[in-house]
Amino acid sequence: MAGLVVASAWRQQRRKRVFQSVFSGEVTSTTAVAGVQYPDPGQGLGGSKLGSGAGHSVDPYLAPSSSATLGHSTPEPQPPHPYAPGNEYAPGNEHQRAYDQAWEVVTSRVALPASAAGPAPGAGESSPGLSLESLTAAREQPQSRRRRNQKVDEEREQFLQCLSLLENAEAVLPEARERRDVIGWYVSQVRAHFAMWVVPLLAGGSDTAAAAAAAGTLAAQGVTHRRHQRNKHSVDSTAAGRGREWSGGSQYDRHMAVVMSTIETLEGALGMYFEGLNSLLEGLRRASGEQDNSSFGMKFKRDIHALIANSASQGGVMGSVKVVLTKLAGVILGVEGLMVRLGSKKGPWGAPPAIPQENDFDVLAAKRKLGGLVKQLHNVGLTGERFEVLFAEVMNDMMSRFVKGAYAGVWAASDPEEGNVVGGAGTAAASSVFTTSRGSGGDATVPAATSSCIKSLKDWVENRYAQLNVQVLSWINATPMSLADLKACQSLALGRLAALRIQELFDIVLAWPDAKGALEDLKATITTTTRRQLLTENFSKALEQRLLHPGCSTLEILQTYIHIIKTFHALDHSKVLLGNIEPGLQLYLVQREDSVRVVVAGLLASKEEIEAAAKVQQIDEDERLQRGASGPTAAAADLGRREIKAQAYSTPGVAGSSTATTCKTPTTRSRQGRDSNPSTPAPAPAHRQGPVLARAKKVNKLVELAKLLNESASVRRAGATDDDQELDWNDLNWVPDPVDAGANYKRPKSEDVIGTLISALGAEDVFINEFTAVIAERLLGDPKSFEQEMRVLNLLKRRFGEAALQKCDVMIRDIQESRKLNSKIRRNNAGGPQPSNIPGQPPVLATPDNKGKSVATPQSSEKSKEQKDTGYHARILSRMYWPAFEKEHFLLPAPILDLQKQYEKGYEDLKSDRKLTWLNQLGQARVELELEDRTVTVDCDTVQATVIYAFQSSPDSSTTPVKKAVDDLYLELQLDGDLIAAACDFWARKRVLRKVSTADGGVFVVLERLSDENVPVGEDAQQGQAVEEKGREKEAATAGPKEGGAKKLSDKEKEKREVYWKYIQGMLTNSSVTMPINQIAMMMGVLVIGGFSWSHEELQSFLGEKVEEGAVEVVSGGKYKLVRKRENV
Amino acid sequence: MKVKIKRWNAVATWRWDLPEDDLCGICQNPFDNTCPACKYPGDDCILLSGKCGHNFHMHCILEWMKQDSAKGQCPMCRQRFEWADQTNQTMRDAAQALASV
Repeated sequence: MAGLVVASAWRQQRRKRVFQSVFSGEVTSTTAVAGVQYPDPGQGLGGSKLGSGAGHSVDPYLAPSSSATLGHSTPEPQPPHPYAPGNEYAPGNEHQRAYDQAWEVVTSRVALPASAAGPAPGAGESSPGLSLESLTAAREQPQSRRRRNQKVDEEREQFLQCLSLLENAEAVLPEARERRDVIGWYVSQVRAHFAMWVVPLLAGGSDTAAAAAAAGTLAAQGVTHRRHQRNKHSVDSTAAGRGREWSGGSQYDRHMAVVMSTIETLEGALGMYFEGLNSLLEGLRRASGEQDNSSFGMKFKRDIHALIANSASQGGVMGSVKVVLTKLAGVILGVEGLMVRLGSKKGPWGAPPAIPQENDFDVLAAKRKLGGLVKQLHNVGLTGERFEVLFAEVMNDMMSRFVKGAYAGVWAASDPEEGNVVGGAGTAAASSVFTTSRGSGGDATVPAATSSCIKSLKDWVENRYAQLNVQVLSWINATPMSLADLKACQSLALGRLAALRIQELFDIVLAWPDAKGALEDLKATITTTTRRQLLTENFSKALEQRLLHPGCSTLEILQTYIHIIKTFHALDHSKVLLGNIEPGLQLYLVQREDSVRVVVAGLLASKEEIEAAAKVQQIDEDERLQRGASGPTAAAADLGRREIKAQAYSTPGVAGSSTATTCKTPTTRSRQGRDSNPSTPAPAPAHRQGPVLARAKKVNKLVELAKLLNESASVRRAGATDDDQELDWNDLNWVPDPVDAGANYKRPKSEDVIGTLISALGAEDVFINEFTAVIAERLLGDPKSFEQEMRVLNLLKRRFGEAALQKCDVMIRDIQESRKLNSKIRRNNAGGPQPSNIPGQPPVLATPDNKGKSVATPQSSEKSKEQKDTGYHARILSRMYWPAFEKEHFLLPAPILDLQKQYEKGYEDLKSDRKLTWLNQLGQARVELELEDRTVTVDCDTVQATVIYAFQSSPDSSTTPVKKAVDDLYLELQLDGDLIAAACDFWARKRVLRKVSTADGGVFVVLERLSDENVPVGEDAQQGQAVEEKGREKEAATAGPKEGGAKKLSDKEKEKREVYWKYIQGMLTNSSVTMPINQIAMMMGVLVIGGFSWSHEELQSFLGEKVEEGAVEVVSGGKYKLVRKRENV
Repeated sequence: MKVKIKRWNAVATWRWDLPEDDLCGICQNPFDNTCPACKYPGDDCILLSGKCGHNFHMHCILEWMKQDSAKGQCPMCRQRFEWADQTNQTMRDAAQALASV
């Protein structure tokens, strides 16, 4: 409230100053003492006192002043009154009397009509209703008066005489001491009239004007309401609601009505003022014979315009003018139509929209309307500085809206033809003001327009925007636009475009490579360091918000990263921009544990996988188009396509095990799951799309990398020649290094996605270790060929050096050598005598499982036959070069054990002085299971094969299915119970075994006939089912190549824990008896070679375990202390 | 149920059949690793055993023997270095090569 008071007081002050500045000089001085100097003509000398007294009680001019409409302070100008009743004069002052009479005649003739309504006191109060009617009447009054003048010419003659009398009073009427300046009086009259009648109209212009215009009562209400709302600064809900209604198309009409009525009002008032002034000036000119007093007329006009402009700025008229301007300029510049387009939300990748041409009917109409309006505004003096600012604001807004409306989401690559069409139309329609700007390519601030967006934007600025500007400025006689201004406008517009593209950049990246047009825009517009910086900042922010969060899989992040690399390379060959946005991304990727694995797997993706991915992509594309064309109803076709897609997904998995009909590798299993998917009623296509795409990504790996790898070979060869050259003197596309490049910046030769990606993943050795592990896994996974591996290996060698990847070389060679060796040994064994059991080895019969396997050993003929059936291969690894494998001990099936011994002997014959260590848990097997109703062939790992072999029926008791418990198998096979259980679950899923009980770690029975499957066996059947389900989940979770990895890891982890425990023990013995956990972690960080890999939480839980074991105790303050053993104390 | 094992892909690691002194006394690499000059272990980088009971990578001991200061002695025990009976043909060849040095 207090603020409001201060504000209004300030406003009053300001208005006062303005008034004073307008009527400055001699006029000001007369205003201040108007009451004294210009008494009412009839009142004579005593008039001053009388007038001021009367004025104070009932003066109508005080009313507006006290109501803060008119900021005038106390010595109110007392308007002289021509028709005041007669006065007495001091006798003998004939001169004075004559002067006063002449004054009366003159003033009554030029008096302004508002006060002519009646005697000052009464008339003023009765006329608040005065509005347009009275003003229009007043405007007509001079005309009627003129008509009267023609009839009564002597009246005019009298006026002129009286005027000349007043003018020459000094000479003619020397006795009249009270002489007054008639011009000064008139000016003060005008000012008072303006303050009294016009200012309220301008300020409350919308109310009264609309009411007076009576164009539509609703419109008037609307405007009034809006005004009220604004004045009160409160949002009345109903008013707001209505306001929204009015903000439709007709809002413009209402504001137009306001503006027009204001103009009308002002025109009327001005006409009146000038009428009086001109007659006065004419009279004076005649009286004095001077010719030069027209300068005063000009001054008066300027002053009154300034007054109007200033008064208008306070009111709502300028607001209305702005609305009207916005609308008209919008139509003329073609922005209005764009807004509609933006609202309708069409997809991206559209072509630049057609901008309505210049000679469009609407545009022409709007232009004419605007022209008339601006000229009128100029006539009444509303085109002051304030208007120019307003217009600039509107035009600024127009540019933003145009850029946003026309180019948001328009990313299509520039089509030269289309660009020509747009440009051609532009130039054809160009009644252009500046025709030089095109083709003046030497201008540094405006880059050469390459993309269609930039071209059309520049055309628009040149032919539409600048033209409108020039026209409006010429209408209001302002400084015209120069060529430099046009250039500035164009670069400003390009800046807006750059800002828009920067905002869209993340989406552009996602749309790669479909958004090349947008990239060209950006490339051409990010010419300044500030913009580049803005781009970096914005994009980094977008990355953080949209990509680097737990909701995105590492694969998605890496895929996006590839797009980022490509996009930024297209944007900026120097890679400086990329380098600027990368750190955050890299930091995040390093935190993701699986990122290296994803990259390596992607690099090693097979051709089939790439093709499958391409197929999926194609199908997705089709689906999108299809949906766009036919809507969401094409469900049947959709289903069919999904089938194809499901097959596309599963092809890579099938490659390894295609012959086995019933085999179910993880991939085929997941395929089944997918096949069953379409059968469930899908709610909406968009809904289905989501999971499908997600799965596609999951299946696909980072195949882009493999594709790139294949492509890069040829590119690299082409680019290899100029690698050493410092500078290519013939390179016409050479550009200097960007300004924001770092100190030791080196220009990269190619986009090198793979290299960038690898270097983003942290330390070299981490990557190499991971790569080695993955390669090892793949090599042990029985690959047909290592073509892809070799290629990746060669690439990495080039990057990291031969020595770093020597291990991989050895591994690959091991596998190759093993193949040769296999055939050699087999040949030797076949030729040589049947090998006997080597003494010293644990005989098979001695194992507890001899009951089950007794088949194998005694009958040698049968055995040899079986062995011939079995293809036994071995891979002999150089142990120092492979990841450390833990030897898992268990007893192999007897025939395999024999084969193994044969092989071992053959090997030792060939390679003297060498011994083999079998890693039984690694490797694969194919088993053929002859059940009563079917035969099943399954590819599995060796553990699974061993377990199922143990379920083989002995030939004598073939009738009942074999039934075994996990705990029994543990004794029989000497294999870890968990592994046995997992293997049994595996066979249960293959419907070879059936779980009948959970006793003894689980009891399984061979499912000899599939029809037996659902026969309940005991009360545990239900439970068994549940456990099986759980097992499946567990298997699914650890499915694929990771299974072995996880196992290895846990062994490594165990080792690590022991080492760490030694460290901690030493620490608590030697350096300090008690230690808080922070200090332990810190010390570990210092002591452990190769870095302490545990997090704080891990260390804490580890120590917690040790506390439970009783090796450590927690003493005061959460410090840890070793528990001293009794013996030591 | 009858189980036929159609195929079996086993995995094994090899090691030199030596007592547990794992490192080559000259290059300090494990025997199962290569000598510094070689890339592939095993056949490409075989071992040589002396009668004194010390083993070396063949390349390492050959290199040693070429030096004058070696005086044909085992670098470990300073006895005259004589190779043990080599069962392997390649080793025999190597031993002959050594003798010629």
